Amino acid sequence: MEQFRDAHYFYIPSQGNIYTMTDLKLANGSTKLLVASLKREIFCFEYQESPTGSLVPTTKEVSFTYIPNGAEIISLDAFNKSSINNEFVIGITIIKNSNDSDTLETYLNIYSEWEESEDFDIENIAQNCLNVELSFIPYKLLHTFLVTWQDENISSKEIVFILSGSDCQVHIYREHSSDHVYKEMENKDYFPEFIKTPSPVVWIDIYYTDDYTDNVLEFGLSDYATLPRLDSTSILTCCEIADIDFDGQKEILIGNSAEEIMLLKRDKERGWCLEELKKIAAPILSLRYLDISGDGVKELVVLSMKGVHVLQHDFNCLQNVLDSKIQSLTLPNITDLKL
Amino acid sequence: MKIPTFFKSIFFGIPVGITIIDCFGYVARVDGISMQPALNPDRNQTDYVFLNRWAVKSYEIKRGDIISLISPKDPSQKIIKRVVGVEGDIIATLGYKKEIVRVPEGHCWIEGDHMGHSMDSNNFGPVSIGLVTAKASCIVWPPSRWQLIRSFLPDSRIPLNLMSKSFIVKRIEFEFTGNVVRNALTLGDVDNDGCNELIVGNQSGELAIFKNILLGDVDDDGMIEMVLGLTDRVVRSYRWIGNFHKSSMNITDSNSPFEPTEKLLGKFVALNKWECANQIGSITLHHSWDGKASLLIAQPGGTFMRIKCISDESINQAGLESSAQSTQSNSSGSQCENIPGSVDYQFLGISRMRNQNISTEILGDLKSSQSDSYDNSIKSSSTNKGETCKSTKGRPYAVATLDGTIMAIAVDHQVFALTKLDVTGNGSDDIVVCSWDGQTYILDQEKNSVRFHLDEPVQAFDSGYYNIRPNEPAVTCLVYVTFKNTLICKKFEPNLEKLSELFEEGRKPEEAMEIVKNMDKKTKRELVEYLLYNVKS
Repeated sequence: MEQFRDAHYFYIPSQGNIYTMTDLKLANGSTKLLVASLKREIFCFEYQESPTGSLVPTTKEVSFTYIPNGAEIISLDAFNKSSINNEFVIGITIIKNSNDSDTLETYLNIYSEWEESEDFDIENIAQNCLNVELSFIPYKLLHTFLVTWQDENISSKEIVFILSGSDCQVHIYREHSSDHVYKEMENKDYFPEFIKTPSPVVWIDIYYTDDYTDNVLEFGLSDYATLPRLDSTSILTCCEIADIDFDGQKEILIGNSAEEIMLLKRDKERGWCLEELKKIAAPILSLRYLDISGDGVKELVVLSMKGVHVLQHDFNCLQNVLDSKIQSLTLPNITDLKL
Repeated sequence: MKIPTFFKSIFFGIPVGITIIDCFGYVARVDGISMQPALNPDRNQTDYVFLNRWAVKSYEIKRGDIISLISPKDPSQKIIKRVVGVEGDIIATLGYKKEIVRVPEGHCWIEGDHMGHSMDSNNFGPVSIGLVTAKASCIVWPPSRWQLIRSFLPDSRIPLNLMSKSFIVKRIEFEFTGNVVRNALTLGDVDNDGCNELIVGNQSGELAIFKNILLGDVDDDGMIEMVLGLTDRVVRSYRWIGNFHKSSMNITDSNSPFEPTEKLLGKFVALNKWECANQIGSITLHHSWDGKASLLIAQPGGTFMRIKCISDESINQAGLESSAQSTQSNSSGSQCENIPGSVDYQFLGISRMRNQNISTEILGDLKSSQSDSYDNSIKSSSTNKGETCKSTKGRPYAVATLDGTIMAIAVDHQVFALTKLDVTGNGSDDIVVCSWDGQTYILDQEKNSVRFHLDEPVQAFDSGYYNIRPNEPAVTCLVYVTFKNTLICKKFEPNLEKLSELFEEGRKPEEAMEIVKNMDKKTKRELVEYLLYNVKS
């Protein structure tokens, strides 16, 4: 990780949480970052290419409608409905003290564009809101494919919002395109895993296998490793799995409240072990490894209590890696050579 | 049929009332802080304004007017904003999706005075003048705020097509690496050759982080000394010694990495050292009424320390020689001697202090053509909390606390640098104040102010006279050190020759190179991504 260099930092006026950073992958391949903070501000961060070819980092506050005064943002998620165009749907969960009583009101606001379009205008999206009232305190918001099967073939694939809540359930919200509303659906049929968990679900990640067929529950999650706790006082807040040293093996990056990013690497003999620690100026809330500069190389984006740090790979280092990769491709394979 | 009087008055009253409200105007309450300081300057008090509908009946609005209009975002809401541009004007926007906007026909550009706290054209673009409902002509309530609202446009928001030439400032940009600390930047004649240089200290200074640099004749001996404030609460003074001894030519030039034209023939010699009780805010040189020089060192909470240097030639000489003999490490300062000088602390009235720990900036030796009237104006403003300016029987000096008030003028931005410069050339110094976000205020001693906005965040700032060539008169200039160079916003560009090796199969190297060169951005990006993340080496 020492080959990471600070590329940019932008400040957020009030702190976010572990759910408040998401990325928007545009159809033209560029990526924007959406970061929400507690006090209702939502920022859109991107690198814009100037006519001279250099990158200009821009941060813009986006004013989403229907986030009332006094409300606080809990989580944020976004996806692109269309596979070729831009048709973004952004979900924001908010919590608010009710005016008359002491009860808390929680909502899931879903923002979307009217129709898919070539260009992307976040201001437009922010003005078009569908509101779902929730009966629980929302936690993690994410999206996944809802796959419906007809015999052995996939008949339809649509993206739904998944929201974990304080009622120890995981809820699914699906768009009813005919009357243009989002409704909660019974989750038993599609996600048997989501029925009544022992405590509120704090984090979910969903991965499908390539053909959407393998069911994890059939095989069980028996082959796992427990990583040793390195520090008993800090709180681990986030993790990202990525190949940051280009060796073809994925590493685990863990951010914690002690202002450190831990890099865990798998060693053949010793298993997972701590490879490196990187200090960041503030407690870390969220980590993403994605290509925000649009050059093909991914950057490490760190949301900390104070703001968003963008860490870029060192260019010399990258060139060396690239050279060795090209060499491995262009060199004749020795096993293929016949004397 | 007899109609009761009560109904009669309603029948006649309602149409008359509607006509008045529709044609002439009505009174409305102003909500929110978006028009501070013109409206609702005090959080606890709400202004009521008279909205004049007659004035806009033919939609003739002028730049600078405060108008009320139907919000383009939410038609049920009315907003009150200032007209910055009318149709045809070219506006430099603040955070709109386009940097420069020409206001289309039938539209206007409106902004709230409270920059950054206002939902205005910088969010939703030019608005149609059909949405304008009225012009705010006076504040009617509370009585303490009774006044006509005058048309006014801040200098920084004048449309580009109207901006006079004097606003266009010549810029010179220098590049250097390393972080520059707030006050570690000064303009002055460091080598006593009659020509001003720009001095920049950076954080990779050899011994300590320079917090402050001051150039001036501290001990009245006619030579200019350099005074450094260090982060370990120590103040040291140095003098530049010209090329007296051939042996002292090798210098570690960490103090002056930045003299492109001058050859570095000489070195800094340490003179004095003082230790302070608290972190140093800033240092300034001040001459009291009898012409004696003293150093003023700002301490947190609006207090400051005064050090009088005794100009004793013999002591100075002794200090000089001993330091000249000992070593060449000019910034080590281990050989400093404490020249006896008188040190005293000054406090400002505690009632005026908003925060005991707030950093303080101080600036001495303001030249004043009429110090008496200035003194009075200061007294009147000193009730105005926070910050003060004082006059000690002669030249005034200015103290500013970093929470954003200088003299009586409240500033919305966090002020960090306070400098003086006779911009107008009238013989009395103006105070130039800069905030982190590039807002620069130039205040003269009658409390008139001009605002200038640099569109970049600033990390250090100074103003002064700068010689571009030795024999030309020095020009006034403002020096900003921005963060621009510390941002590494580049795309990774792969080495094309290496990349072309991938395509050499069955092709000549030149052809392969041609393929790589003509590759469009998306393909190149995907290729780099594939190589880095999917190829096993």
